[in-house]
Amino acid sequence: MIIADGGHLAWRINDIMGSSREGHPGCSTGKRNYRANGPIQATPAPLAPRREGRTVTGAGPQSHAGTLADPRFLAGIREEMRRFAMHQLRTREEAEDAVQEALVGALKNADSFGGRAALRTWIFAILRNKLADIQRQRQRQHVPTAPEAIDDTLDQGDNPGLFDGRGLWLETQRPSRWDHPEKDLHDRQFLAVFDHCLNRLPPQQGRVFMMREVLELDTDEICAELGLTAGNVHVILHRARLGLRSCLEHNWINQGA
Amino acid sequence: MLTDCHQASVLISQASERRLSLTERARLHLHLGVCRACRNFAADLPVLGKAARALAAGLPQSGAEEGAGVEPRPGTKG
Ligand SMILES: [Zn+2]
Repeated sequence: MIIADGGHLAWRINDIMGSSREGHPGCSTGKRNYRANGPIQATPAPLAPRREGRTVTGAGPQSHAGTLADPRFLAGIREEMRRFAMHQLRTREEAEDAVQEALVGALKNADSFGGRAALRTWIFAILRNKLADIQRQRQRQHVPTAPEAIDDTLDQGDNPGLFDGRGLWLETQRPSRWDHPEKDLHDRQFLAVFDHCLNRLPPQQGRVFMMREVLELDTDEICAELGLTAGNVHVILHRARLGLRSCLEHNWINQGA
Repeated sequence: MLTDCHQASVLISQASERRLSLTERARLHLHLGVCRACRNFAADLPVLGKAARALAAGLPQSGAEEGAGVEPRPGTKG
């Protein structure tokens, strides 16, 4: 299935979503089992739509230039995604599939991302997450991996690396005083730094963080969508917040100090 | 039992996800009383979410698409 142009995007997507919808196990409380066991595919979960279920349509109330309903933007980002995926997968076909699935996943919530930069960050978080899934699945099947496999697939180690042996903040990681955070929220430069920091998170962390904070899904909804346990989601969010805080600490808050 | 910064950061983060137990709140409170770094972390945590939402609402582009689909943010001044 190919999403060819922006014009027919909305109904094509609804089509796709409708046909591949499948049940999700929901939040289990088990500790292990990071991923749902089943085959890893585009698994659009029955997510409650936030904004009146309106997917991206060309005729929406807002202008969608710079969004996925804009054919030029869509074509551009597809090409970029394809190139990115090609670095990590072996065949063009495989890459094409991953891009397709990531796009379908991203489109479900695309209307929550009015800004082009944020939308791009969101889409790539999903794509990187998808690629990590594929790599993980490959390792499980002992299929030899492509040489340049990404290395952040197992980013859920026990120590986030910001604390010393006694559990105290490392000298370089200690959160310092952030003077005017509320004011910074209106600063374009700050948001660009923040975007950069989001992009630097391991893919799953970035995705879960955005699901939580931008889509404003709760733990259960995220569990159901990604096949994670509640504990997993909490750990991932904790890591993401630590990572973002640390990145901001070094690139914004403590800049020039 | 003393709460270290790592544990405190876990509780601070989880406080946005679920209601902490009385014990957890007490432990966190005690730690925050003596740890400025964790106080800073706690104070800034909501800003991360706000930043994500501000970014999603639209980072002004320097290029042509400026303002596309962007809701104006209130009180935009330097
Ligand atoms: Zn502390």
